[in-house]
Amino acid sequence: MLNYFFLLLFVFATCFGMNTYAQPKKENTATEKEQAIAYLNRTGFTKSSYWPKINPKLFEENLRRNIEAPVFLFAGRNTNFCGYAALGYVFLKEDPFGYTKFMTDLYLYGKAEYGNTTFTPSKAIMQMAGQIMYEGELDRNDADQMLFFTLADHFKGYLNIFHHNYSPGDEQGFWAATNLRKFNRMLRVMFKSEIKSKGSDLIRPSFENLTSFLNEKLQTGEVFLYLNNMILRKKNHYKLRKRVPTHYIVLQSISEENGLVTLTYWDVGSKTRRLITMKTLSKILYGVSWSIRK
Amino acid sequence: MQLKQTIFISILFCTALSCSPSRNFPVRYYQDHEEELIIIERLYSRIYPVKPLAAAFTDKEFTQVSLEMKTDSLRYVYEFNMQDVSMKDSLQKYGYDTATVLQMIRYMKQIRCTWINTLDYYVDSQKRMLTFMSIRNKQLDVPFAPEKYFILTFYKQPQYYDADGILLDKRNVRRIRKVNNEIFRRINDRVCYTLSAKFR
Repeated sequence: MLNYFFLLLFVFATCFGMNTYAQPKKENTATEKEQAIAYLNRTGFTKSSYWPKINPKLFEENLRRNIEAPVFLFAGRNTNFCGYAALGYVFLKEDPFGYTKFMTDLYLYGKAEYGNTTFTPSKAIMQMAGQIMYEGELDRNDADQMLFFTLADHFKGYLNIFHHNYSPGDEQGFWAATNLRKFNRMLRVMFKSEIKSKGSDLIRPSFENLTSFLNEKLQTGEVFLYLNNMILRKKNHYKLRKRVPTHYIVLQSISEENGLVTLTYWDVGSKTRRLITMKTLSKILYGVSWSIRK
Repeated sequence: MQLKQTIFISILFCTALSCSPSRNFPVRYYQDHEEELIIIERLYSRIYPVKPLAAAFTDKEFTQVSLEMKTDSLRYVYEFNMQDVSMKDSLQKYGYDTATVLQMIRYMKQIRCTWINTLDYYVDSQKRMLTFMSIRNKQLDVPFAPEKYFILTFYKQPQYYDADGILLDKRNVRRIRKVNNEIFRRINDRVCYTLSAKFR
């Protein structure tokens, strides 16, 4: 009888455990989204003295849209904000309430804390945020401008060494560039998960089986790819291409059949699925960063 | 000494000759191909609002077509050989007006249009759309220089230009409007052009 009781207890515990394992992320995110929206509803946005060019109405609209649909986060057509956008997309998905609190604090108090780090944006970017033009939807996404500028202003890597201070137009140049090490540093600050990485800015990493490797990492958390976008998003027909990584994307899924890879990824503003040969993917891939959910 | 001078003058002459087509090229090209360009733009305007699409020719021979088919949740990017039936099948599968798309692609090949897409732009925070077309043409090729593309943008509303025909932001604003980081010039009220190192 006692054995029967323990067996029932075990089955119940297992089922309960499975439920709490399988569902919490979705439920928590849904609850967090509601919390985030409720927090926004409680917060009134008027013109900020810290961010003089940000339109409070556009700012709030942008926050609401991001909370509801992170997939549309857009980094502009010609900026170097792709790394910050990749991070922002996952940040929004994983912690919508944290994102909302962070952005609201930045707007209201000119500074904000996240993950034991205090972000105090410089005056130059506070003047500039809200003024980006001719970058498509980013023109009126004032909250996204604020987030990208703040991250670019705060995190520095060796690519930014000669461009530490912002001047108008620098969002398209080295001031906003993100090398792999800086990207990983940003992930470690903005995510509660453990972050691991393989690859570098110049030498491509080698993998015994890239598809299996990436699928394995997708099981544990988010996977970011650092790659040469001149092939993935071809903009000219030059035969000679610079062999450097230029872009960050968030991997959603990958499968391989006869050397042909079906890649699904989030890339500034939308999810994309494309076919690419394994040879090309190996040639353009310079780094992989992944999170390990606790 | 005279030989050197002759060589120098010849080089100068050749350079001037090789550069001169690009100066007159845009307006002349537009006049010569206006009919086809307008047809492509009209066909595309029929396709895009129903099912967003972007199309590119990826090779010099204009045989490989890359299609970006946009649904609510995903953007599918597939490359096809123009002769391949799978292109038609895929277009059907994703709900496109196959005949119109194929007709547009044939016209694109005919005038060496390498890319067509729709871009959004904003006037007083209001979203507007333009059609963006890139043309590859041998007349734009300069030896030892990167390839240039002839870009055309088609607007639904008449645009504003300065005295030199440069596209402006809006009425009463002297600010130059950039599209894809390029300055555009007037062809007519609703069509502008530029020469660019990037086709998209």
